[in-house]
Amino acid sequence: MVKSPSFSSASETAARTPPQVVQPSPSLSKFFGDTINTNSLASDFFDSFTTSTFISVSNPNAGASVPEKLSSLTAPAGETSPDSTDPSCSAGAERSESGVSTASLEILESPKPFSQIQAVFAGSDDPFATALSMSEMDRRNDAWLPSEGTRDILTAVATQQYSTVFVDKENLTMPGLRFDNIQGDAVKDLMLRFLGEKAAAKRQVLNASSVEQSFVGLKQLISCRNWRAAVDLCGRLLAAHGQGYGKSGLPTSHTTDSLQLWFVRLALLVKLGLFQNAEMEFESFGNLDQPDLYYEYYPHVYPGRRGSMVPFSMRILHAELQQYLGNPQESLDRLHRVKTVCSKVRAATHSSLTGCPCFAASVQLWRSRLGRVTYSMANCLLLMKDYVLAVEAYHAVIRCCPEQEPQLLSGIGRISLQIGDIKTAEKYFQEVEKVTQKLDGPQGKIMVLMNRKCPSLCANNNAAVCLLYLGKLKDSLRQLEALVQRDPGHYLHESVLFNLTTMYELESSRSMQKKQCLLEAVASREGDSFNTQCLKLA
Amino acid sequence: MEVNPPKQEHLLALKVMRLTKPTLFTNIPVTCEEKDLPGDLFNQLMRDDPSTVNGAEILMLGEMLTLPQNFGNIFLGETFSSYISVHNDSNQVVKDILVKADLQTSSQRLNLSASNAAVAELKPDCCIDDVIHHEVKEIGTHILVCAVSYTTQAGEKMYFRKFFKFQVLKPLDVKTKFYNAESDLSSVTDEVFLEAQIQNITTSPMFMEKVSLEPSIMYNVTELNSVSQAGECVSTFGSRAYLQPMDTRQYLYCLKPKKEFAEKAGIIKGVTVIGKLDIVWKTNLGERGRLQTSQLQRMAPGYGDVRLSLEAIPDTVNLEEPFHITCKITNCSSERTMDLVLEMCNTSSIHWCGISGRQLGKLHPSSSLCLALTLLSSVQGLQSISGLRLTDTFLKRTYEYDDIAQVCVVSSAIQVES
Repeated sequence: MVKSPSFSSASETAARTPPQVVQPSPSLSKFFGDTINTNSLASDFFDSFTTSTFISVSNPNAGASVPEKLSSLTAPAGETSPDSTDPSCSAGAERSESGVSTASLEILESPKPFSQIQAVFAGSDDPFATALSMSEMDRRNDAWLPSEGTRDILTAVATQQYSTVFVDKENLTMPGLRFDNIQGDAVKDLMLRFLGEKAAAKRQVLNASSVEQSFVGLKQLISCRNWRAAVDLCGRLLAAHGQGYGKSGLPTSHTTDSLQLWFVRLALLVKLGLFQNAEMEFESFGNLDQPDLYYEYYPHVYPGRRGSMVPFSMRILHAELQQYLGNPQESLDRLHRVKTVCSKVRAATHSSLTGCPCFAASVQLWRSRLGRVTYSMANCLLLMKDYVLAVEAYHAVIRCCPEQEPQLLSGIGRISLQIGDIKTAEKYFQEVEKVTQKLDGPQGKIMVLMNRKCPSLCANNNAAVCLLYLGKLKDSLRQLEALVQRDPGHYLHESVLFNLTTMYELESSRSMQKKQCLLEAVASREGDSFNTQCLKLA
Repeated sequence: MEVNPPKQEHLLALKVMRLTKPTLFTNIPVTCEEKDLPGDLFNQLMRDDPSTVNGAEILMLGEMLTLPQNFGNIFLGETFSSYISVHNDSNQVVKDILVKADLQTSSQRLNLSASNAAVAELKPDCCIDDVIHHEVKEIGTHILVCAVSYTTQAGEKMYFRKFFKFQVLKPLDVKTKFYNAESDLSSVTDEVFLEAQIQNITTSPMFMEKVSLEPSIMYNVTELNSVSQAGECVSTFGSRAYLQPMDTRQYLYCLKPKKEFAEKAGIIKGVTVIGKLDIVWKTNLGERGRLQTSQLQRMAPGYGDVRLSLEAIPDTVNLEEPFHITCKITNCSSERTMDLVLEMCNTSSIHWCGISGRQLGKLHPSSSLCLALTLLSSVQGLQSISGLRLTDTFLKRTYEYDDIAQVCVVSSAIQVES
């Protein structure tokens, strides 16, 4: 049922490029002798590297082969320890035996000289060294495999000094806001209708104008759950960047920051359930693979920097969005493509970085990304109601994230319950108990404590539901109301309120008053992201 | 907003809610990495969200139960459960409250109330709760009639009724097919195979807990839907333990007539009752359903008054070499003694050896005789044995027997062990 990825990997070219030997640029010596200055010297350093031969972006004939190592669908089982050094892992050695492409994965070869130099400067407070290690992290983070077409364009861009490059508009990302309005506050609207203007006026929530017009203000809005205002603020900041309302289809440029803003805006739209709006604005981004979304496209703004500007989480979001729009198969296809690239980069990182100090961090990053993709795929299969495949996928997630085994086994048990297979569900719940007992003392205790962190709400909610089925409406209501009153900041949750309002409607004809009380409680505590449908006041 | 003039203001309010099983709340996980703009914020929001699973916030399927928001569908064989609540909306004490719940179908009226006694009094803002259960046994329109009678403080007797209509739909489509086994050559009994095709015509997945065939008095049944693997009974359906909407599954059963009925089995005529299917299934959170089919019937293949069956025949024979078969001729009538004449007719590939047109002697009712015959084939390949004719001399009726069996004829270059 899971289609194979349509991501085309270029076949290995017959003629391999001569092994790229890493050699220090002749001008490096000028850095080693003198006192190191800060920024200007750093940029000089980068400039000189871009003209030396070992970065093949300047070599238009660089081989187009990509590594043959393709992982299977399930998560890779276990990593090689950093201690097992690949004999070929030393500065200057080529790795033609691993089939690592010299072009697209140059980023993984070039860390060699940097890590060597880093070792030289290790331990110093040198800002230069810091700049180096920062770029190391960037490199690791932004590593991505562009498609063949994109790679060609990027190569052409890098060699612009020899010939001008014309990039077809079709290959450019030209996003813009697709809706301009202030998102509004559904809670306030309800208050106006049911509690009157005076009460509504008392509602104070942060909106886009009441915070600092910056990332700091944005984070404020997100954390206090005023996501509509946050979407607005993102919109303003993007408009300042030239990608505001009506700007879609107009030539523009991208930066790390602008893409982060887009990511946050789209992520919040998804959290708010505004899937169509998110899809509209995602349109311009295509498959997140256009050449102008790569650092190489901007050699003057990001000299020497390689990789994709698109945050990894944005790729996940882009894939997952489709299942909320009713196209789960498309979600799976996209997730599969992401997973394929992750596997390839991880495999290449493995072979090229073994034995280097940055190995562990890199392995950890790509392992967690693979885990995230697998999780998404399992969730998607669940949404598609393909329970057999979903359960298999969740088992794969357990292999990726063994610390979540009890929760995932419990989740699979709940899936069995949903089908009606009670026996299998019981087996899984028993398995959960076995697993939690197996955990070592302290870790086991932490798990148990964690499960108790927010124990009341879920357990109490479910107990209340059971009471209702036993014919004890009043008791059930008492339980839920007590819960909500005890810690309204935490417990005014959509699902609990749904249950509460349903029971109010069952109880009496005076349910309207009680629901309005809930509205008042919500008004003073919840941000503009609150889903007012659960109050059933419409 | 329309305002309908109330016919009469009642002090009590009646509310009814169908208690389908609750559903589990699902989340929409949105995450980002530490280096991204929101940093840990998204993850923190998910951790603070009480509906996510602690420690596995990306898991979509939460643990919280949500009450049903609409009536949903109800299917034949399921249990209709409903909450009935009578609430005192007034500020006076109400006396002698009697709540009755009946279910009216097209054919009958059933009383569903748990208790038929009147409640002495109901204080303001208190309620009388009842949960009723009823296993639905009919398809079509059902009406839940709830009647409340009470006496006000002033002594006035009041009464009102509410009607709730719902449709009961068919959950399964069952098709059956009978197969006659090739006669077991060593005994007189006949095996019948029943294939039951069950299709889920609801809108949600169904877990088939048990599908069994309860045989009629004449048969013993063996179910052929599980295999013994390493000592455990494993279903032939493997890991796909449930039926998605519109999926079909085939179940197979083997029926053998019991010894007492064995003699009759060879000459069973007309319609026989095989047994009935008992199907138990579960849906969301263990909602149970159960159905039994009506008695399944089988038309026995007609043998007429005279039956010819094969007792012994080789699988493979040599080309143009005579071989022997043994036939059994049974007088299926219960009263007449038969005088039969056997004729053998050749076909283009089958050539009979022996005397055609001979008398077989008297055959008494319900008895049989065995006959050895010799024949040869002149054509290679899988040949069908045909050409036997039995004539009942008294009734002057001839029974034709063609395509009795098949035999594989090989060239004599390939020697066949005889």
